Amino acid sequence: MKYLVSICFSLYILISISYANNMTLIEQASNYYKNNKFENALSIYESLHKKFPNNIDIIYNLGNTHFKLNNHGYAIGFYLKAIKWDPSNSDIRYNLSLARELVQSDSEQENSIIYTILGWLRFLSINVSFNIMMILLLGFLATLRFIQLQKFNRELLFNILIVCGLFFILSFSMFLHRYAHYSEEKGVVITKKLAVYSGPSETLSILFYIHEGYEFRINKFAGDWIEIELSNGFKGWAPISGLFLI
Amino acid sequence: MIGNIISLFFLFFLTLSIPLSANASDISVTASVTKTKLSINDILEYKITISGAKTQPTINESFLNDFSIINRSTQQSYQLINNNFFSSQIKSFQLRPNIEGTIIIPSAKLTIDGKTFETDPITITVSANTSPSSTPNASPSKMPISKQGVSSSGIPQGSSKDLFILAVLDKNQAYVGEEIIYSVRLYRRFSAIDQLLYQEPKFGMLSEQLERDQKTYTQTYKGIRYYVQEIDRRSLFSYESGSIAIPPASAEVQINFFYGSQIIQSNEISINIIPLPETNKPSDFSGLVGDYGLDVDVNTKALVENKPIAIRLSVGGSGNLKQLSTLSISTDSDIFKVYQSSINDLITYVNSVKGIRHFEYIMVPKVDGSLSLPVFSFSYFDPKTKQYNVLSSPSQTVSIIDAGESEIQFANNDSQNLITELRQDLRYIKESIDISKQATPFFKQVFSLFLIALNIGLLATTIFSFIAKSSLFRNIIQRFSLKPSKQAVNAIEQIKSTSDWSINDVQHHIFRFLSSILNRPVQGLPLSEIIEELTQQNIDTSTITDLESLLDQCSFLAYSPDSSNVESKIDICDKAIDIIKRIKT
Repeated sequence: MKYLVSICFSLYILISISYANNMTLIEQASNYYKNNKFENALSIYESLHKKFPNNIDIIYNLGNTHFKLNNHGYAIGFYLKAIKWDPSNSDIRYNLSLARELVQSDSEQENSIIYTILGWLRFLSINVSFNIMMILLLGFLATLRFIQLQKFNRELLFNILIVCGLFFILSFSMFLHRYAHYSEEKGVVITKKLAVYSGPSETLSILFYIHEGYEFRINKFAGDWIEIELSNGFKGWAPISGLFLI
Repeated sequence: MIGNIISLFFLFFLTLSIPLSANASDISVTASVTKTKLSINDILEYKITISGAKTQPTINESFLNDFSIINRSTQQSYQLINNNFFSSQIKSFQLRPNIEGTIIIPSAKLTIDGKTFETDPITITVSANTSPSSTPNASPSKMPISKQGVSSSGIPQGSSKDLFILAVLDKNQAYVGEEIIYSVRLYRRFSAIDQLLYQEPKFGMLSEQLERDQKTYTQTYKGIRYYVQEIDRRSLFSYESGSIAIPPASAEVQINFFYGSQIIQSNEISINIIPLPETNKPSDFSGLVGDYGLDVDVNTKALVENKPIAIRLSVGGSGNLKQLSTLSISTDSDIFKVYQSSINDLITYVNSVKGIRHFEYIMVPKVDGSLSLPVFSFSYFDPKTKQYNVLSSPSQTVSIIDAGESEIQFANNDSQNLITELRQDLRYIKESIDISKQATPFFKQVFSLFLIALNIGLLATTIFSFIAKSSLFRNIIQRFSLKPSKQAVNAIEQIKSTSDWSINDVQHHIFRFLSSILNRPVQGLPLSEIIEELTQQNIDTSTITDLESLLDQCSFLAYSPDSSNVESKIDICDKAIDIIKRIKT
């Protein structure tokens, strides 16, 4: 028992020290950023990102730091990564639009018809859309159960059942749409100018060039090469070194 | 037909010639005067309008040798369209002719961008002054200063004691360019007059009419009580030193119908104009005399490299503000390009000439970084302190933003006080980061998993409940449960082993078995109908007969419990088991 207590205490101390160290690093990085020492801030944020790869705030700060270092491709990549989890975050959206303006990036989402009609869908994350769908399903099933148990007003319950059913169908299609977006593999060009080849080799012919900040879909991998597809339908192979994968 | 073709060709060439002629006349220079007939003491304004010039023109003023230049001023307006400056300048000269007769103002020669432009000559007629005493070189007559601070010379000669006009000045000595208040008052012993037509004198200096006192009051002058009324009030500015005489003003007065009208003249007055001191005279002194202040308005938050911003400077005070046509600018032209944009006046003419002259300059920062704004200054002579004063805009260090770093939207409509974004920059980093907060997909989130579990549970319950209530389910249950014959036999065997049982239990199990055979509930049916249906099911006749007698026996025992004993009950159970087994086979 004594051993168990001492082990728990030691673990607690270790976790506390680690947490304090991380907080100091965050503060340090903020100070570097404030004083325009973006290189120093970047190295700290990168180390934190390795430890906490899914922390949205760290990803966002990385985007900002890269932006300040004129690495606009990286900045767009990190912003897209952050927005994948938190699409309603206005700060991320704003900074992403600024970065896109600087590289004249072609954002397919903003131009598509579905986004013109259902623009608000952009603000729903996969998690939120799933939870909405599940809550509506719960409402539907609960109403059905009440009907079975013959409790409350049967007519009212039927009406509720129809409404819940319709909304559930809508939320389900919404979830499918968000899931397709979530599961899509995307990337951003991080080099100033990148040649896209007809196959996974530099000996093959160059099809076209893309510039820093250009966003694309990933079709398949072949070693250090990726087959990419642009929003205009152009396809080609590019070396992974010039790309940022989201 | 040929006529129509010629007309079309003519129109075609006319259309082509329009843009060509427009290009050829990019710079135009014209001259004008405010009046072409004047007396020797009058001042005329000569204006040269230059439009389309991108640089400052140079003018050789030697063509104005026949005139004394009292004042020079330049008005400029700039427009910035598609990064090109379009300017329009008006160079004004206030001139007093030196000679009488017909004078031709020769062509003004201006050099703009290395090219020489000429205006058209203008002919004016200068007449001699009607009153010899009104010439500027006439000998001054010192005026006594009255109690009210005015100079007067008593009742003018030739005027009646009952009706006269008196001209007065607020001072008998003034500096060159200093404001002198001139006032003409009508003194009358009559309570009212019908009509008065006032004729101002030729001042021989710059005059600005002021708002006269509309009230009539009484005043005792040389022992006689008069009704006094101000009929003229103006500010005079002399730009020549020496003693200057102001000729008499005249007025035609009609007291009433019986008296008829009479012309009366005021006294002649003179003033001594003293030159401005040369000591400590600033190099940029423009001749401004009076009391002034300087106010600066510039939005220092909007300074971006190569983007023009406006600075507004307001010179306010009492005196001839129009004398100040430009401000001195102290700046490095490599850092700031400064262009005069416009001049607007807000001047009141009430008791004296007072107001504000707004200067607008366009500044274009050529480099980025922390820089000092250009310093704008002007000098004036204060007659009260008898000193030159220099007023400057405050030295201000501002931060100039690099133009290439970000897109900037300027507030072109500052005057409308609209809130506009001056600069777009990133939203700031997150300083307080919760490290433990990791983004996880829904299938790893507790809440989502809880919702899934809840839904699955509810769905399962609903489905089970639905199935349980359906006949299909019951059939399935039946199919998978024990056969009815076996169930009935087991149940009756169990009844046999218990001591406390009734014949109804046996009867119930028999009927239940029969119900399963006939696929309908048989309890309550007449026995004859059960027998008939069993017969239809091809059950052996003897078995049916035995069943009939057994059921009769059960009914009898059920209604007469006293006659039943244990042995007969067991016998009935055995019989029932036997009949069930026989029906089953």
